[in-house]
This record gives sequence, C-alpha cells and structure tokens, in this order.
Amino acid sequence: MPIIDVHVHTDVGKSLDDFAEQIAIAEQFDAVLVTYAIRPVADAGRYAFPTAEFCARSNDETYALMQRYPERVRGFCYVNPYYADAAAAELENRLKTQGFAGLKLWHALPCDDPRVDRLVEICARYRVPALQHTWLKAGGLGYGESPPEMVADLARRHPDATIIAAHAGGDYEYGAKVFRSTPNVLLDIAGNECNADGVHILVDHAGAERVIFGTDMPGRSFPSQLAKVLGTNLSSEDKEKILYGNMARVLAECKTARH
Amino acid sequence: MIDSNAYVGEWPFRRLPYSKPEKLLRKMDDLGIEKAVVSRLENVFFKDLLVGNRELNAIVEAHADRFIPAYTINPAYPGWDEDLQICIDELGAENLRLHPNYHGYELLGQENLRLLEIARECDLLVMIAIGLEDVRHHHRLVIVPDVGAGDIAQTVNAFPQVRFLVAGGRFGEVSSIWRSVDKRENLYVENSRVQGPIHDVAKLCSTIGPDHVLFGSNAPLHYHESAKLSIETESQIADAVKQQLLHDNAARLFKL
Repeated sequence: MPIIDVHVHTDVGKSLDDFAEQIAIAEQFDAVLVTYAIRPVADAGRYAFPTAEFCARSNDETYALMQRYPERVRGFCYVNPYYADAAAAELENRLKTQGFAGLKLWHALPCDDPRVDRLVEICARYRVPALQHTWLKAGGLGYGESPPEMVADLARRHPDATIIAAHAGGDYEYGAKVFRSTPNVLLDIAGNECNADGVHILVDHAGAERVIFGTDMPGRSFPSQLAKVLGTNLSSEDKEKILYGNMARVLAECKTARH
Repeated sequence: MIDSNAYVGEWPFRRLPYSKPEKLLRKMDDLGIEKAVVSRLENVFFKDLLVGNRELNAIVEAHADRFIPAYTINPAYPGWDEDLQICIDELGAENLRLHPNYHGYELLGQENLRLLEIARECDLLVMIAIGLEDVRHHHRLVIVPDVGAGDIAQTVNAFPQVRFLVAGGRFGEVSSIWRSVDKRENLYVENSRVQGPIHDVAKLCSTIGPDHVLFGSNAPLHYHESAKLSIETESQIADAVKQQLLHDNAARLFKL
C-alpha cells in the first residue's frame, strides 16, 4: 500500500545528501514525503520567528529536494505571516512557479491573526492545503502556538480552504472533539506517541475521510507513527484512506505549477 | 518474541483496547509475541499495592506460560517492606517495578535504597518506569513528569550488582542514562517509548550495544506494533541483532 507522509522536516542548511536517510525510508515504505524546512540545522531547538529571508532560503532548499527527488518529495512553502507582504509574495510565487503543494505554518503568529487569513485565501485560490501547527499541552502552549479551537475557527472563516491540523491538535481526544464539526479540517496524526486507540478516536468523531498520515520525521521514526494506523482494527479501506487516499485526493486538486 | 514491558489492567483516563488479560493475549497471538513481562496497571494509582500484586499473581498463574510478573512496590508507603517480603515468599517475585514519579519518592531516598539493598541480596530484577505517557497529554490534575535520567544513572551506579531494566524511556533519556553510568553491565533499556528519531533502534544498538536493548511495548497504553515494527523494519541492523532485541536479551535477563 503506498503512503503519503504529510509531516516531514528537513533543516535549513542541511546538505541534500543528509536527506538521503529519509529518502531511503520513503523507498522502504513506498512513501511520498511532504516536506518543509522550519529550523536552521545548527539550532534544532526553537526558531519560531524567522525572517522573510530565512523562509525564502528554507523554501529554496525544499525546492532543491523536490527537484532531486520528484517521485518522493512534495514541498510545502514555509513563511512567517508577520512579514505579511513578503509572506504572501513568497507563497504565491512558490505555488505558481515551483509546484509547491501547500503552506506550512508553525508558531510565529497564532492563527487568529488577520495576516494568516490572507495566506489561507491564497491557498484556497490555488486549492492547496494550509497545514497549521497546533498542539494542546497540559503544561500550557508555547510562544505563538495556536490552540486547536483557534485552528477550527480559521477553518470556519475559510470554508473553501483545506486546513490541516498538525498533530490532530496534540491531544487526540481533545482534537477529535474540537474538529468534528469542521469538515474542511484534515487531522494529521504526526508526532505524538503511539497511544492505543488514538487514531480510532479521531476516526470515530471526524470520520476516516478526514484523518491523514504523518510522521514528524526525523524527530519521530516512521514505524512508530505507522503503527498508530496498523495497530488499529479499522478496515483495510479506512487504513488506505488514512495512509494514502485522503491526502492523494487533496494533492490531486492542487492548481499549482506541477499540475 | 518476548515483550519486556507490558501491563494488565485499567487506566483512569481512557478505555484501553487490551486491558483485559484475554484481549492482551489475543493481540500477542496475532503478533507472534510468545511471552510478556506484565505488571498491574492499577498499581500506578492504588495505595495498597498488595491488592494489585495479588491480582497480578492470579492472572499470571492462569497464564503461566505467557506472562512473567513484575510486582510493583512503593517504598514511600507504610509496610512496603512487609509487602515485598510477601511478594517474594508467597508470590515468588523475581522482578520488581518502581514508579518513583507516580508514587512520589526519590530513587536515592533512604527507603528506596533499602529496597534496592533487598533487591541486591535476593537477586531481584528492578524495572524503573521512567514514564507511561507523553506528559503533554496528561490529565491537567495529574501531570507527572518523567523520572530524571540523572537520578536513574546515580541509582544504577550505586547498585552495580542489581539488574536494572529502564522502562518507558524516550531516546534522549535512555541515551543520557547510558552515558552517565559507568557500571553498565547490569543496565538494560527497552524501546516502547523511544519512537524516534529515525533509525532510533540502530542508534541505540550503536551507543548502548545490542546486548542491552530489549523489545518492550508499554501495552496496553501503546500499541505493540510501534516497538515491534521499529525493530523489525530497521534497515541498519542485521537479522541476528533483531533476534537479540526481540527475544534473546529478554530471555537472558529474565532467566527464561
């Protein structure tokens, strides 16, 4: 069964050869890696508020991966919405001319900021998804981090856009409740521990059509995240939707350079 | 395959699919797991752990060919030493499990040092559970951080004759413990909550050594498939090493 992994990181400043490990894993599991670079390789900790120049370099490097591995890598464009004009221009250019397949937003700004709306409008026009980081934490949110409810509100403001809630909101039980009434939100299962029945909870509330596979490589391993789906007793049809079909449908609708 | 780190029982915060012994055994059958080291999950929160330990003993007696018991002891609770003696004399305890974070004591506190001295005298294996679930998703009234790697390293160094299995540690935690311990012959780790970075199992084998890494599931909190697939699909270790991790190391450590 082919797989689309919607949540793969590379680091800015990393050589193309360093990504070969992820590509080898993609070959092993027959996976397409939706990839973005959000941090400099020398600072793998927090780097939440990048300059527009950093984002442009990030996207250059993602584009280089897309060119080198066209069958295995799809790129999402990373921007800082704070630099509104630069971010909008960067996003539109990458979609229009380089075939980027979506937008990655981390936590430079919470997603109730109007500058995020402008970017999501561009995504809707090109029919590409906007992936917004969101992770509810018992110890409190980090700087600029968007809680799941804020991502749901973003989706309600943009019913024509496809929003991907990264990490399904962090806490699957919480995210499942928050997102069950927002049909244009896809739930990306990347990054969390492989809790028994976590994906079942998402499917029970949102439906198998709205759950998509992601790993958060290289921080997370591919098999630990794959196990979240393979460990369930969902039907093989539902597993196929989560691992491949749902995201394949989204990527097929992109009106970007590649299509 | 031998699962070196599992539980039977219920969890206060959500329903678990394999909490009952029969369901856990069926899942083990499906995955080809021959035996599992199990503790009573309720003993994370029970006060009188002897109740949970007796329940565990009954479960294990009914499935003696499949389950290996690890009895939970809380040295911060009155009468723990008498309970431990009962576990040894009546229940035949050979393996103990500690939850210093959930039970609220220091590994290097006086009572636990006394417990470890008994473990040394009686040749008991000691499992130290670093954590059970991602602390970011704990119930807001029960936020229990993982046990500190430094505390575990000091404990292992203080009792080099005791066999320790560090359970539920993440990659950074188990790597840190290994680096901090200078008497490592009796220190083992399992991979249930490692779950990354990429090639985590190969990296553990490289830094810790393939003789000291075991397959562990953290079931029923986690799916077995995570730890199992992480070993079986690891492209950077040989099949013979996978056999060590999935079976041989546990067979040796638990004297099976």
